[in-house]
Amino acid sequence: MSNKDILQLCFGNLLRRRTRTILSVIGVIIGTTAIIVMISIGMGLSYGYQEQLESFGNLHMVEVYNSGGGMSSNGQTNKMDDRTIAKMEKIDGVTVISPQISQYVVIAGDHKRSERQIIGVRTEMLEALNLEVEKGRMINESDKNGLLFGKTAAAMFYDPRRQQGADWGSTEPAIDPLQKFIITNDWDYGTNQEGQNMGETQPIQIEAQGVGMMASADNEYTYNIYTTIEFAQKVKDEFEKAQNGGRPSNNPQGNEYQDLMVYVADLDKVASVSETIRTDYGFGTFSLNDMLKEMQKTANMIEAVLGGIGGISLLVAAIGIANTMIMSVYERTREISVMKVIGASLKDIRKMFLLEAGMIGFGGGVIGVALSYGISYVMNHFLSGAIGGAFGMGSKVSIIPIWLVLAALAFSTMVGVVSGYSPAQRAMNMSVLEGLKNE
Amino acid sequence: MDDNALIRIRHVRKVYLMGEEKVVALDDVSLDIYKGEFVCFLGTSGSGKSTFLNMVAGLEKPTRGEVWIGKVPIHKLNEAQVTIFRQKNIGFIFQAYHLMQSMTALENVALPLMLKGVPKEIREPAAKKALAQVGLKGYEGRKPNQMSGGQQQRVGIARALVVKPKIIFADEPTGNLDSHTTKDVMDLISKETKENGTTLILVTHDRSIADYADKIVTIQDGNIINVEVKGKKNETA
Repeated sequence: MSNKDILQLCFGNLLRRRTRTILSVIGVIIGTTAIIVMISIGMGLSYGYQEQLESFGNLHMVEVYNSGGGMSSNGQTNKMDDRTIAKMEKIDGVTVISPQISQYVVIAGDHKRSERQIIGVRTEMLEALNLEVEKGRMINESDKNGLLFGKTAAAMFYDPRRQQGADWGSTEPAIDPLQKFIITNDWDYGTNQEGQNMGETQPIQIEAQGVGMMASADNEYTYNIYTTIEFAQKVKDEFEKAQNGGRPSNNPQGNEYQDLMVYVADLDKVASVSETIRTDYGFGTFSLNDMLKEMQKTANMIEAVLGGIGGISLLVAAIGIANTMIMSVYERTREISVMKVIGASLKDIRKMFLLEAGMIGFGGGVIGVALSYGISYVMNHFLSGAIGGAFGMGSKVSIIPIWLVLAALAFSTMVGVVSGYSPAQRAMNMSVLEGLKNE
Repeated sequence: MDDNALIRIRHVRKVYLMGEEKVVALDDVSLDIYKGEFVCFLGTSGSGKSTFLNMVAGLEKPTRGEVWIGKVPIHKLNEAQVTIFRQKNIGFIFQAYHLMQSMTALENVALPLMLKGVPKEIREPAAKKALAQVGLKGYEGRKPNQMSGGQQQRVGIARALVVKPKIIFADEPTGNLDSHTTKDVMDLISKETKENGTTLILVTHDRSIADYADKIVTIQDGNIINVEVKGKKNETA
């Protein structure tokens, strides 16, 4: 029998027993919807966690500290210098690695000042972070003393004669970021006590040139001023020298760095990169991704529990399908027997019943998916405020990824076919004579 | 016994178990049926005639003995093989018509072809032709419950004829019909099978129906007691 004919026959049979078919389908719809919606809530939770962490910082980033003495698990000591960095660059998953040199300074320009962190990193790192520049341009390696302002950093300049500190909360630039600036270690710079509280420390002034300002104020980079490694190192050296009364610092670590930034483009590799750096190099690491992993474990557990609840309803639906199909086999004993006698192969008989059960499962699954999207939409639009707030969820209560849709369809169809299997087997093995007598 | 016969039944025995008790439905039956022959199994209820038909059609397996159709040992085939064999070679006509209630006359007649995998474009014209052959032109769209018993049996006959089988089995085909319709249906069956050279095996308890046959096999208590061939008389087994 051709598949098209079998399909048509099955469809006809389902339509003939309309009420019972509809009831079984409703069972599957409820089961499928329960699973999808439950899991989608779990996914929403997990996504919420991620969203929350992303607001804290960049999930791709691993920060590396020169703590733990650089003693690796095989007893080798590593200095956090350029040679080690060159080696670490080859760790699988590392996209960009850069030292991070930071100095807290007073920076002034156009009669305004600000107390900011100046951070020197490789320009590749700034590029990897994909930070948009709103004014001016990115730092490049040929900049001798170029500065790239975070949006908030540019907003936090103030006139020291009028007020004590910057206004918080503003993101409107308070100065033109593309001008000359003075970097100094005099914490009273610009006030009427300028130069009076320096003690042993020699006052220094370093000139710098603003080249750009970032566009976004919604990340961790917005508060800082970025520059090249060379310039940041120069500022740091000058500050230390000034503190030592004019002598160059007897830097005990030679040309070692204190912090590294490692950017991992592939989110799935962040954890393994951290692990490698900890065990093979002996440095301390921190990444938000570690936290995310923990939070996701929780989310996965919740997802599994919710999915399980949904699964129970689909199980009930499966029993419904099995019941429908068994009834159908009993009812159609004569019909099946006649078909067998006039030439239906046993395989076709079984195929027919499996297909009918599968169609109930698939049909219910399709409607269930549609219904789930509806419920998900309603939850996201009307409940995200109420529930989302209460459970610390993100902007979405429920997320239905495409794989969940496909998996649910496959699962509901499978449930149909599996519950139809035993009735189909029964129909196939039924005695023709008994069936024909049944009149 | 003739080894050139189309259907060769050799020492077939069938014993049913009814609880603890053994019931012998067929004792020891042997028979030859030739191609194109119209054979009637005549007997009262419980004589074993239906069991005999089932055995020959492969619907039941004999407890002992052999049934050969051409070169095929029917008694040795499993159910799947026997189904394929029936699909290719055998048509059935039932007492209770056994039409699919949800299908039209046309669909009912086309059903055996559909089960064989014949596409719609071919099977529907064939079914139409078969319906015309049994005098039901214009009834293609009727459902069984919109037709009389005689009309339903005609659909049943068309369904058996449509696959052009080598053998047609008919179990009390007129059992549910009045005498007038019975005559029509019997005329139709014997005419169509004769024209096509189809072997017809018919089971009945009615002597007047048996008279249509070329060979009347009388069965009583599980044994053939008389074989009557038209022209010759009393060729006792």
